[in-house]
Amino acid sequence: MCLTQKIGKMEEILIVENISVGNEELEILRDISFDVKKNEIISIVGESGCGKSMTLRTIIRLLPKNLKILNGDIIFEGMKLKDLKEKEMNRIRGKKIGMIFQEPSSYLNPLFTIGNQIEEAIEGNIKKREKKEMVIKILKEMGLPITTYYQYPHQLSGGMQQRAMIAIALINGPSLLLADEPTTALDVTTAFSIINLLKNLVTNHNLSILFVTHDISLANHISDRIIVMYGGTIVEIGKSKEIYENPLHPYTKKLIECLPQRYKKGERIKTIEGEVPFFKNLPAGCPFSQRCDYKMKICEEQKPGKIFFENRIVKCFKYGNIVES
Amino acid sequence: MEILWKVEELKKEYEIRTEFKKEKIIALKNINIEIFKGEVFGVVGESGSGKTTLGKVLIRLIEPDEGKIFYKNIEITKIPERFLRRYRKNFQIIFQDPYKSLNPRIRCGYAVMEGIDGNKKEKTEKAIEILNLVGIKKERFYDYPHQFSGGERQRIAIARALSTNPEFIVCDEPTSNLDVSVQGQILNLFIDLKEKFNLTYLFITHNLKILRFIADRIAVMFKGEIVELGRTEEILKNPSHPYTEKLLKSEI
Repeated sequence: MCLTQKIGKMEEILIVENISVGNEELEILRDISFDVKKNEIISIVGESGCGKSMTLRTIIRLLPKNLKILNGDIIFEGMKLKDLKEKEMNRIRGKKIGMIFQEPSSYLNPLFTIGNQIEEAIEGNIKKREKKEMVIKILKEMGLPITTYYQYPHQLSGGMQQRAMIAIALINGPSLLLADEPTTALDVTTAFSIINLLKNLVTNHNLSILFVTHDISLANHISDRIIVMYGGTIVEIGKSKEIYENPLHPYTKKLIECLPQRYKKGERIKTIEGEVPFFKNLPAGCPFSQRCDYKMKICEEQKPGKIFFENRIVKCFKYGNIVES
Repeated sequence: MEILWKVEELKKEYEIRTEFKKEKIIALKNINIEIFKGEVFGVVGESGSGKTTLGKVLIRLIEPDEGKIFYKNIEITKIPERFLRRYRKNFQIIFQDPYKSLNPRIRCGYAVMEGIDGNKKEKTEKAIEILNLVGIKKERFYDYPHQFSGGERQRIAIARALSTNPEFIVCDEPTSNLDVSVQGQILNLFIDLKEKFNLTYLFITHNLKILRFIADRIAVMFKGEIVELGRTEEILKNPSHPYTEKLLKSEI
């Protein structure tokens, strides 16, 4: 497939269509479709084990060896990522799609200075002096002092390390940033500043961010739209505010209910009973049926399909009897 | 109200030696607090502000440089190490990372049995009872830590802390490594156990949402000092220190 082949509208920077991931025995991700628009922050929310990180890894094609994309398409800036050769994919990783992770300390090399590591990421034939200028410019933009150029990762605090990671991810000017829980390991105040930084980057860098988190209140704060995932599939997509104020899917409702800020002292937090099922023993019907309060007979037998309801996509039989095709 | 802990003029310095120079970092200074029996005393502050050091110094896992600590009018700081064991069972600590605080080669039941007195049968029975209390089923008694999820491991850590019938537990960011949904379950468990055993907690966290939910009084720490101390609602309503204001502003 030629790199320049354009498919789809330009407004959507990334289109994920009916992706399923797995191997002969089991399916990890099932029927994932969403799109990321230009200059948009979109969050993926869910408990651990729901397939959030796996979705990111599918997009950038860094899946574990025993898993494959079974069907569906990933279209990024008009290119079909699924059909690209490994060599062509390498050109996209880091250059067009950047990625940041939860624990910056484990992704930075302790033996090289920050300046070195950011320079290393720069693609193309650029003179050493120009590279340094580029690095210093991006360090300033990230709110890091210029001295960080000569410092090693262990000399920086967690927040500064995360800023350095973002600098590495953005040095080549990607149009999409995949952020895998970048603030969970940080302090409240540092996390807040990192989130503000990310928000500013969207406008200054012409960037779209796909943000993974397990905290739906954080997702509501940072993003324009929210994707709620459960059991390897998307259960609800919609505008952040609408989802946070009026959740439709029972799982989204429960996720919001278990936030401690909704309760006064002395009360008990309403939690979600049970645990996320392993992919091997997902129920035959709706994946959430074991923990759902509104369980009907059909929920145990059939998988719910997509229902368009008040500008949103929900997969629940509560809103109509549509079975997954 | 009965005063459980009284801390006077506590000070702790760490020395950092690099190849060329020695540096002193003040981890704690001018700490004066009283903790009442049956309350949840929250400690909030950014990383490096000395929250964890305070928790550890209090139960003498770290020796303070200066200052006095009284536990029920007994001066803990003066008791020699070998007699301290008598008191140690009264105060316990739960750490942040349940992946690191459990020995991967000890079955969960045995890990809980360690702190219990008696013969093997009594120990086993008591361990099963405590595990049941924190929500771990009897069938999983012989499982290893890696077979449990993060939330379950934190429950085992809590069971271990409870095994000596303590009066006081230091909770050092016990929920910050957990999912939001599991966090709720663990917080509920903390409240249930507190009511059942009349426990006192020193609850260390940087999450104001959790403090608002669980803490009766809070101390705000900044660079090794307590900059604000008082009832949770009052402090969060009228913060007087710039750092507290900053904390409140960064709430999402």
